[in-house]
Amino acid sequence: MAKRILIGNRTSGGYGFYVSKLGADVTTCDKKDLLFDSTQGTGGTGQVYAGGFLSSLGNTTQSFLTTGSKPNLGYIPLVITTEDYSGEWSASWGSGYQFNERWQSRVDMIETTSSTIAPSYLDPSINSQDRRSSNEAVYGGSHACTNITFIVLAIPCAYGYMNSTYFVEG
Amino acid sequence: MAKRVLVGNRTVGGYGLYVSKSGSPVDTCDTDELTFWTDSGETGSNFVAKGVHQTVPFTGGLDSNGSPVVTIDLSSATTLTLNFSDLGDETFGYGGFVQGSINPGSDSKKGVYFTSTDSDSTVANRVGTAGTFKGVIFKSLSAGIALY
Repeated sequence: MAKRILIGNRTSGGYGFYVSKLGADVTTCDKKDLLFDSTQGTGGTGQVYAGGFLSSLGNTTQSFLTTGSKPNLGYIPLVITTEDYSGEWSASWGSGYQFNERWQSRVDMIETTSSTIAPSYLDPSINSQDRRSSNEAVYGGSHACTNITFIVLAIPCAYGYMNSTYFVEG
Repeated sequence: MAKRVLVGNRTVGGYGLYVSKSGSPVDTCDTDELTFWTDSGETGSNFVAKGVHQTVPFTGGLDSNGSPVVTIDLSSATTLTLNFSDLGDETFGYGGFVQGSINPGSDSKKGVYFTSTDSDSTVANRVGTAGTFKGVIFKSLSAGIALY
């Protein structure tokens, strides 16, 4: 049976805490075979910071810091979401020189900040409205944000934060 | 050299397993300098996570690539029940597909979402166009509360 857990000095990585996959010797295996590697920076370990479920999220924001009075991470984190209207969407209307066609690779767009999530959608024709709602999604049906589940990971995911401050090994 | 790993009783956090980043003493550093720690229900002024992001293996184990990803064939049926290991409640289904290089067609939709999700099964539903999708299940670590 392979050694799976090492707390100590690893030839590749130095002192730390390591856990390997089934069948991989934790003392000598490649880093790709490690389930946990403490040499990764604090932004590289995939800690679940917050999450939740909402049956509906309208034209508003949802704070993910509310429960437990969590402090702001100081960066925009990676947020994984899933909801009813996922996937791509396309529509066309009109004719001749007024023929219009739209294609959106992902309708379940979510705008994230360092403290909130909010549904967002693409609409080049209506500048004053930038969120999803059933009465705006006139071409292709409702894209309202319903039954959304989300997980906030303590991993920086924004310009200016995906750098050695958070991801450096050592 | 700073102490990096603690298995035992920490002043902030109590009994557990703690790992700090390079240069930070694991027994006294701020929580945001820890790369891993076991949740002890902390709240307050430092970063408090719930645990490591984890996938849940589907029934039958990992696929041929050693990946906990399942193929969801919705090319004829509109729903498909998926079974996976029971690693606790409040699981999180996540799916997607490889998009084509051409317009999928006017007035069309294609996507997958999950309903009736419990501790060991979920139902994949397609949105619009038939197709084959990929799915993965995550542990949410929510302990049964809506927002955590």
